[in-house]
Amino acid sequence: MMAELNTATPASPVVAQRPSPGASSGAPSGNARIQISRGVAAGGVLEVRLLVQHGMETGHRQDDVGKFIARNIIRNLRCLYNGVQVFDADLSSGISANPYFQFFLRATVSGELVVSWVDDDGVQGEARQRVELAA
Amino acid sequence: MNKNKHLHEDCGVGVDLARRRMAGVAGVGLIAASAATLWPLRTAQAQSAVIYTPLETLVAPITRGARLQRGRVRLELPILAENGNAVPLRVSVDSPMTQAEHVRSLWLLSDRNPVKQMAHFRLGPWSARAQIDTRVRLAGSQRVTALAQLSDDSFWFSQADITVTLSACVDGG
Repeated sequence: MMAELNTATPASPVVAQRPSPGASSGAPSGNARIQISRGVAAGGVLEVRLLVQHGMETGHRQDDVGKFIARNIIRNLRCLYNGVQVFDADLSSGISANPYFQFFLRATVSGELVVSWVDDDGVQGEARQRVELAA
Repeated sequence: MNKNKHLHEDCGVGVDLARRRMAGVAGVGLIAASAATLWPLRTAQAQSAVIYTPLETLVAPITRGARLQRGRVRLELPILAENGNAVPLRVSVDSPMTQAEHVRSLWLLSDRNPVKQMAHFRLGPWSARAQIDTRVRLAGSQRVTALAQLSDDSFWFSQADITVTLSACVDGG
């Protein structure tokens, strides 16, 4: 039992485990909602709210027969703004199911936000949001 | 004597120590005194079944011995959470977020969760504001630490206590 517990809780710091490009399991999947503040001019501050649909299974829960449910959490989540990385988060089981983040960005030009993540099963997710700045 | 002997045996860890003392000084009063002083120690140990990780241990893998200063970081979370599965919190850092002076990294640390480092965010001047809101899982009442590394490599932190009535990791998530 202890051995199982130990495998479920890696020693900190948490290291993002990204699967190699060839090992990813198919096309990006997953579901997320990105909301950004509207009417922001270039040079202003964009508020980004991000809600990812993911169970964030901790690995500490047991099923009906007492067997530990395998851990499956998003290890790394990043946000690109016109291809430039502007937000990068290493997550652990300490982040709630359906992770929510609110963060800020300096608005530069109109373009696109791309949020992508990968979980313990190697499943990748992606969400996009158009950024239109006020003239 | 019987009464004292009873106390003596009940004392667990203190038995050896008390016995050794008795070998040198034969006195009923002394045994009773040693039993009495050891008694609260034992109950205190029994109550602190939860092991909280001290701050030094939490930050050691991050700061690697660098100086740690309290302040500049602001951690807002509820005083009481009915449920530890999703506790909203906001962490912000007093920083202009310019090229010259910005927050480079932000950590959320738990002194009671099985995984101490809950999240690590990388920020930069492009972040405009050093503020992040999220929802964390907390395995019971504890002290949450927010640690920031600024562009000049200095480390700043802030802590907040929270009482969690129903711990995460118990059921449902």
